[in-house]
Amino acid sequence: MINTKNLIKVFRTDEVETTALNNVNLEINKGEFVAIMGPSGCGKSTLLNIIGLLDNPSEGELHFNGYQVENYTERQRTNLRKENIGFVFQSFNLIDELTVFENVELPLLYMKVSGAERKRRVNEALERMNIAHRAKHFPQQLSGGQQQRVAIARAVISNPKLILADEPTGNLDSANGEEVMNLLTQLNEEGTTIIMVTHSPSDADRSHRIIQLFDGHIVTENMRQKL
Amino acid sequence: MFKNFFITLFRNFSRNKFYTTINVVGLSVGLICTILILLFVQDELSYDKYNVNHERIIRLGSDFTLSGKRDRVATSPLPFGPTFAEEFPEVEQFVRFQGSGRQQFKYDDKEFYEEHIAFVDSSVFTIFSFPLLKGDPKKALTQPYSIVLNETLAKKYFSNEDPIGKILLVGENAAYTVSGVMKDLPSNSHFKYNAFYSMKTLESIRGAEQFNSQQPISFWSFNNYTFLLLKENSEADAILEKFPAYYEKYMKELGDQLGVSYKLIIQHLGDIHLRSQLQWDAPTGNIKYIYILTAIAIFILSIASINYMNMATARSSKRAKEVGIRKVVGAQRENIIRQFMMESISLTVFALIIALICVELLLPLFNQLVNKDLTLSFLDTPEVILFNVILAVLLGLFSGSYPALYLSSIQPVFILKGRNGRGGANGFLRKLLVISQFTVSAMMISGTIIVASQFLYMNSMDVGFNKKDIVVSVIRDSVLRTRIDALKMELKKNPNIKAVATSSSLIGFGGSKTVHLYESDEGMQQYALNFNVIDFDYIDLMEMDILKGRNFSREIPSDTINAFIVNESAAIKFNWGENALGKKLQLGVEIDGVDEGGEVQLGEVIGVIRDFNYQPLKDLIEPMNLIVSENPDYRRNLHVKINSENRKETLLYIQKVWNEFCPNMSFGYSFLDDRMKENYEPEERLTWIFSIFSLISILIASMGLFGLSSFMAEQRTKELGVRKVLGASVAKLVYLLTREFIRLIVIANIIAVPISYWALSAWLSDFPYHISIGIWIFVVTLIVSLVIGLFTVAWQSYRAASSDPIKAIKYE
Repeated sequence: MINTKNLIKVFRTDEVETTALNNVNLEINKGEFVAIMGPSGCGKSTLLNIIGLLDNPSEGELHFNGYQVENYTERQRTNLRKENIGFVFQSFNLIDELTVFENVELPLLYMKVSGAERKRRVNEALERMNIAHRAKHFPQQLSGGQQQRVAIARAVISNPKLILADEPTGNLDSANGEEVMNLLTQLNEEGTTIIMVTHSPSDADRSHRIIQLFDGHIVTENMRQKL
Repeated sequence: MFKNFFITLFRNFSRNKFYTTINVVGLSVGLICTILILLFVQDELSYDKYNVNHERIIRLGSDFTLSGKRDRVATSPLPFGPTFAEEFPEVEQFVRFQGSGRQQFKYDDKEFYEEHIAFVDSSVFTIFSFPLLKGDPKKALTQPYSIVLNETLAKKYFSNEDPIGKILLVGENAAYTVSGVMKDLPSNSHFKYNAFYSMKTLESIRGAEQFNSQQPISFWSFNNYTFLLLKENSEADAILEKFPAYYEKYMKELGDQLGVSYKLIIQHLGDIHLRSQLQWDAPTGNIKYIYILTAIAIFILSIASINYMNMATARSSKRAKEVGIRKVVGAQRENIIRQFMMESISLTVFALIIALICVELLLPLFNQLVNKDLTLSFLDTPEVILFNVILAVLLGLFSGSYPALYLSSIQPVFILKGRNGRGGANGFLRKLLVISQFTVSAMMISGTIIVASQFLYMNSMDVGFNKKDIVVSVIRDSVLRTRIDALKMELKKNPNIKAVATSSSLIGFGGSKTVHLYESDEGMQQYALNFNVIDFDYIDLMEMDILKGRNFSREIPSDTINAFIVNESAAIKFNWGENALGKKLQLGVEIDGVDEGGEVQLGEVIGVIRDFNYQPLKDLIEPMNLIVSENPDYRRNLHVKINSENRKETLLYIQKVWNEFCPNMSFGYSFLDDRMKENYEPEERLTWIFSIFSLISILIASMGLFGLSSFMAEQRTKELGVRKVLGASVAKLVYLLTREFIRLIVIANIIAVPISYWALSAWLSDFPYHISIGIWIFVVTLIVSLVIGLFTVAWQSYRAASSDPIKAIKYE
C-alpha cells in the first residue's frame, strides 16, 4: 500500500539545516498495523506526515496505492488524503468552536456528502466510539479520553483505508489509553491499515511490526508474530 | 456546509467578543461615515436633475475682458433670450430670471420681508419642472403684475384661503395678483426662488419699447439669468460655433467702441451647482469638496478595513489550528479562502445593518451640519442602500482577502507541530498596515488644523476696515432715502450710536463696476473699475485709513462733483506711484459722444485709501474708486455704528426711529460681521466636517491599535515574564512594548507630510488670502498622533508588563 524509496527530508532555516529523514525505505502492506518508535526528534512524526501527504519529502519516492505521489500538488494530495487517510493526533486537534457532532461531520462536508447521509454516518460513528451521548457538547467539555474517541470517530468517518495515529495515547491516562488502543486494534481487524507513532511499548505491542527510527534512519524492523 | 460555516463564525465571534467588537464598531463607524458622505455627495450630484428636461437646458453666461480685466459672470443681457430663439434653430424656448432682492409683502395684517424672488418669463413652467398646485402653468405669468407663490408663502399669507386672484401688496405700492401656487422648489435645486413675478411686469414698468429694445446698449448690460431649452438632439456646441456671427450682428460695433472683448459661456443646467465658478451666481457647491469628502470616506473605510486585516492576521495563530485541522480532514485551499471571506463579509454586512440604523438616528444632526435635508429610505434612495450593500460586500472581500490568503496558505503540518508560520513577512505587512492607518490619520489631523486655521484667518483677517458693531439695513423706501440726513440726526441723539452712514453697495459683498477713464502717459485709458457711492460719514464710520490726501468733506461742495478717493491697488494699477493725488479720473464714458445715463463724472483723485476687502476674501482686492454723493438713489445701505454694550436697547432705539420715518416698512437689519461670516459658510462647514471625520478616523485607528497592542502584549506574555524574572523593570517593559508602535507612528507622520503639504497647498491656493503651511502644523500633528498612539498602547503594555511573572512563565 505504501512504499518509500530513499526518502530524505531536510528542514532548512536561515542558518541551520536539519536532516529529519535520511534514506528511509519502507513498505507497508494493506491491512498491516505498524508502530513507529524512537527517541524524540528522530523523525517519527516527519515520516508520518509525509506518509499522510501533509508534507513533501525533500528527495526520494513515495508510492501510495500504486501511485507515485511525492510530487503531487497540494490539491491532489488533499483529494487523495480525504478519500483514503484518517488522522489521530496526540493533542486530539478538535475544533473548539464545533460540537462533537460537527467535528466528526467535518470530513464529510468536504466530501460533499448529503445532509441525511452525514447525519446517519456521524451518529453511527459516535455510537461505535461510545460517545453518542456527548454529540452536542464542545471538546472542552469532554475528558481527554472522550476527546480522543471523537477524534477517532472523525478519522474513520470517511471509511479511510489508512489511519495514521501520532502518539494517540500520549495525553491519556492508562485506562483511556487502553480504550483508544482497543478501538484502533478493532479497526485494524476490520481491515484498516494503521500506522502509529508511539513512545509506549505496550501500545506498540498491539502492532504487527515495529519500526525503530534513530536520527532519521530506520535502525530495526521487528516483525511481530500476530497472536 | 453553510450551516457549518455560520456555526463556526458565530461561535468564533462570541468567543472573541473583544476583537469582534473592535472590528464591528470600527467597520460600523466607517460605514456610517461613508453612508453619510455618500448621501451628501449623491444629493450634491443630483442638483437640478429633477428637471425632466435638464439635459436640454443650458444657461448663458458672459466672459468679457475690458482693458485687460477679465470677468466671467453667470448673467447675460436681456435681449439674449428672444434673439437667441430667433437666430438659433437649436433653441426651442427661453426663459429669463431677473432677481428683485428683498421685498416687503403685505396681505391683510400679514406683513413680512421676503427674499429670493425674480421676474421670469411665462415659459418657466414649461422649461423647468416646477409643478403648479394651483393655477394654469401656461397662463400664470402672462399678465403684468401677476405673481406665483410657492406653497410656503401661500400658506404664510393666505392660510386656508384660496390665494388665486387675491391681491398681494409688494414694496411701497405695487399690487400683484396671485395667479398660481407652485410646489416649493426641491432642496437640490440651485434656484432658491420662493416666488415669481411675471416678466411682463418689468415690461410694463419700463415700457414695452425700452424693455424689448434691441439697441446695442441693451446687449451690454448683464442682469439676467437666461436659460434655453434646446430642441431634442441639438447640441449646445452648435450655438457656440455660430455665436461669432451673432456677435457681429448685435454686439460687435459697440463692443469695439468700448474696447471690450466678449465670449459666450454655455453651461448645462446639471453642471451649475458643482462646476460653475462664475461671478454673480447663486451660491453653489464645489466639486472639490465632493472630492475631499469622497477621499475622507475612502480613508475612513480603509482604516476600518485595515483594523480587520490586522487583527485577523494577528490572531491567525489562534485560527491556524482550525485551518490545519480542516485541511487535514480534506479542505482544499479554496474552501478555507471561502470560509474566511464569508466570515469577513458577514461581519461587514452585520456592521452595515448597525450602520444603517445609526445613520437613521444621526441624520438630523448631520443635516444640520451640512445644511441639507437628506433622507435614507428604500423608497427614496434605493440606489444608495443598494450601493451600500455592494460596498459592504466589497469591503468584506477586501478586508478578508489578506487574512484569507494568508491563513489558507498555512501548511497543516506546521500547525499540527505547534508552529503557526507566523513569519517576518506577516509582521512586516502588519507594520505596513499600521503605518498606512496612521499616515491617513496624520493627514486628517493636519487637514483639520489647516482648514480650521484658514477659516479663523478669514474671520479675523485685517480687512482694512472695522466690521465690528455695525448694524446694516437696506433702505428700499425711496422717500426714506430722501430723508436720510434727518434720520441720521435723530439716530445720533442716542449716545450709544457712534456714527451713521450710507453707501450704494454693501462692503464685503462686492460692488458695482463700470468703465472709467484714467490719466496715463498715453492720455486717458479705459478700465472697468469697481466703485461705491458713499456719503461724507462713511470712511470714518468704517475706520478706513486714508494714506494720502484727504477724506471727502462737506466743507468742499465740489467733492460731490469732481472728487474721487481710490484705493492703493488702483494707484498701482494705473501706474500713478506716489503721485496719485490730482490725477484725472472719469466715471463712465460717453457712447458716440452721448452721456447715455447722464452719469459721466470727470474729476481728480483727492485721496488714496488703504486697500480694504470690499469683496469676500475669496476674491483679491481689485482697484476701486469711492465717490461721494448726496443723490438719494445711492443711499441704499444704512450703516449704524453702535456701542458694543447695550446692543439690545440701541437696536430697539434704531427700530423706533426707523418706524417713525418709515411706518410702512418694517426695520430689517443684520450685523455686518455676521453677514460677512456667512460668506465663509462653506469653509466653516468644511472645518466641522473635517474635524469630526478626522476625529473618527483617529478613533478607529486607535481602536485597531488598541486591539493590536493587547494582542501583541498577550503574545509576548512569556517573553515579558522571562525578562521580568531576569530583572527588567515595568517601565523598561512598557518601553519595550510601545517602542515599536512609536516608531511606526513617526514613520507614518513622515510619509504624511509631503502628501498633506501637496493636498493642502492645492486647497489653499483657491484663496487669494490664505495662511502659509508652517512646519509647526506637522509637528503638532506628530505630537497629537503620538499622544493618541501612546495613550492607546500604554495601558495594555502596562498591564502586560506589571502582571505576575510566574503566571507568565507558566503560560504556554
